[in-house]
Amino acid sequence: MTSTSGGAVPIDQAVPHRPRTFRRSFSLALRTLNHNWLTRVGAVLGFAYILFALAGPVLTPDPLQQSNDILQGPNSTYLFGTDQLGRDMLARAAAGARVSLLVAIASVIVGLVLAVPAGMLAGFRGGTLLDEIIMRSVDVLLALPLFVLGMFVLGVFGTGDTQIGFLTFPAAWKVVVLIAIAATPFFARVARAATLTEVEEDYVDALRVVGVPRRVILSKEILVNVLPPVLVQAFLWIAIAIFAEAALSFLGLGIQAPQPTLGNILFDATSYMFAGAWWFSVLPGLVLLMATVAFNLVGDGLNDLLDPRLRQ
Amino acid sequence: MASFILRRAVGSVLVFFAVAILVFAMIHLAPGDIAQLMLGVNLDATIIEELAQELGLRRPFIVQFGSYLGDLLTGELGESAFSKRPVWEMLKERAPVTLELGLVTAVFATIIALLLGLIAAALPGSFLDGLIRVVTIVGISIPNFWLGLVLIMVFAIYIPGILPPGGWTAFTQDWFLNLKSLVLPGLVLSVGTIAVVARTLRASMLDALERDYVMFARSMGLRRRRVIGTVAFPNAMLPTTTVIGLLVGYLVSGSVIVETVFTIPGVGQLLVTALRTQDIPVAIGATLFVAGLFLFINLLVDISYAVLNPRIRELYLRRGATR
Repeated sequence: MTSTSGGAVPIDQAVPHRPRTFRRSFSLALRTLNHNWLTRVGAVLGFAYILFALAGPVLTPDPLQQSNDILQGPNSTYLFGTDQLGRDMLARAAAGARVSLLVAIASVIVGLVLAVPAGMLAGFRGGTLLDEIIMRSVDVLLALPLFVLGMFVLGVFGTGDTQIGFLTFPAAWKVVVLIAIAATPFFARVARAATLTEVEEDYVDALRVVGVPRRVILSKEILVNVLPPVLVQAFLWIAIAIFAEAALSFLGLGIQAPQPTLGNILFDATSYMFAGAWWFSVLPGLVLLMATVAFNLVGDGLNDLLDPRLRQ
Repeated sequence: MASFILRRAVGSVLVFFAVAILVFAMIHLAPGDIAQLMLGVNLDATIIEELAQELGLRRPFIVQFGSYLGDLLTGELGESAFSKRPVWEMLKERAPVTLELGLVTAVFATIIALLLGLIAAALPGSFLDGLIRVVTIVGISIPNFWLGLVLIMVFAIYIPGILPPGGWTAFTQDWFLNLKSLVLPGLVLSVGTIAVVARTLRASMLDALERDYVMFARSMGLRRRRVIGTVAFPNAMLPTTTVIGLLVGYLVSGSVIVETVFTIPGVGQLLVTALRTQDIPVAIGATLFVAGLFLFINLLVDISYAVLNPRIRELYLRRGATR
C-alpha cells in the first residue's frame, strides 16, 4: 500500500499511540468494585433493583387485579400487603419499579443524545462564537428552576396524552423529555470539558495531519475518550431521574393511575397513613430508596475512580 | 465590584423575563382552549366562551402577549379562576410561610452540615467518618416526600403528641407551636442539603490538609486541632460556599414538595393545588413567584461569594483597574 492515494494511511500505522482510555477505565472500574465496599453494596443493590423491575412484573400477579382482601398487612399470600382496592402491593411495586427504571434510562439517553454532541462541538471549537453560544444557553438553563417549570408544563399540558401536530406524546414521554432537558446542561458541561483536554492530545494532531476529517476524529476517536466521564454523570442522573419521576407522580403531575408508579402508589398511600397502613407507604418507598442509593453509590465510586487526584 | 453586582442583577432580571415568556409560551402552546381546560371538557360552550372573553383569550396573540408583559410590570397577576380572589393577595398571604420554612431550614442545615463535615475530616478513616459517609449517602438518596410520609406516620400514630405531624401555626399566633410545626418539614427539607454540604466540606478539608501551607503551620508548632480550625477550614469553605449556593435551588423546589406533604399553606402548596385544578392564573403567579425567589437567592449567593472570597474579589478589582 502506498501513501500517495491521499490520506488513506491506516490509522493504526499513522498513529502509534492511540490511547484507549475506555477499556482502561473499564478494568479500573472492576478494580474499584473490589476495593471499595460501598460501591460493591451499590452494585448489588442496583442489580437487585433491576432484577426486581424486570422479573418482578412477570412473576407477580396482575397489579390491577382487585380483590376482597382490602388493606391487608404483609402476609404469606401478599408479601407487601394489599392496597385499598385489594390489589397486590408487591406486584404494584414491581410494576412501578419497572416504570421508574424505564423512564430514568430513557430520559438519560435522550439527555445524552441532546447534550453530548453539543458539548463536544463546543469543546472542539473551544473559544469560538459557537462555543460561546452553546455554553451561554447551558448557563441560562442552569439558572432556571427547572423542577418548578417542569411541574408547570405538566400542569398546563395536562396529565393525559398530548397531541402536538400528528405526534402523540404519552404522559410518560412528557416526563422523560422534561427530565432529559434538566440533565442536558450537566452532560454538556462534562462533554465539553473532556473534549477540551482531549483535543490537546498528540493523537488528534496526528490524525489531522494524516488527513482524517474532523467529523471522523470527533465521532470516532474523541467520543470514545469523552464517554467515561459523561457516563459517570449519566449514572448519577439515573438516580436523580428516578427521584424526579417519583416526585412528579407523587404530586399528581406525572404518570397517572391506573398505571402504577412508585410515586403515585405513595400518593395513594397518603390517604391511608393515619389508618395504620404502614406497609402501603413504607415498602414501595424502600424500593425507591434502594434504586436511588444504588445508582448514587455506583456513580460515586466511578466518580472517585476518574478523579486523577484519587486514582493513585 | 459595583459593576459586577449590577451586571449580575441585570442578568437575573433578564432570566426572570425569559421565564415569564416561557410560561406564556407554554400556556399558548398547550393543546386545546385554556378556558375549556380550566372548566373541564363537558361544559356548555357559552360558559366557556364567556370565560375566554373574560380572560381576553379572543384577542390577537401579540396583543395578549403585550398585555401579559404589561400586567407583569405593574404587578397585576389577575384573579383565581375559582375563588375569584386576586392572585397577588393569595401570594402575599402565603409568602411568609414559605420564606420562614426556607430560611430556618437553610440556617439549620448549614450548621449541622458544617459540624458533620468537620468531624469527618478531622478523623478520616475512623468509625465515625465511615458512619457519616453512609448516613450522608442515604441522605442524598432518600426521596424527601417519602421521608415526610414516614415521619408523619411515626409522629401521628406511634409517638403522638410530641410534634404536630403536619399543618401550620403562624408565628404571630403562637410562636412555640410555630416552631414545633417547623421541626418535621425543616428536617425533611434539610436532609439532602446537609448530606451534600457535609460531603463537600469533608472532601475539600482533606484536600486542604494536604497543602503546603498546612504543613508549614504544623511545622511552626501549631497543634493539629488549631490548624484544622484556623487554616484548613477557611480554605475549605470556598468550594463549600459554592455548593451551598447551588443547593438553594434544591431548597426552593424541595419546599414545594414538603409543603404539599405536610399540608403547609405556603406558595409551593398553592402552586401544586393550582396545577392540579388547572387554576391557570394562580399557577402562573405562583410559578413566577417561586422562579423569582430562586433567581433572587442565587443572585445574593453570587454577590456574597464574590465579596467573601478574596481571590474572586481581587480578580474583579484587577479587571476593573485594567479597564
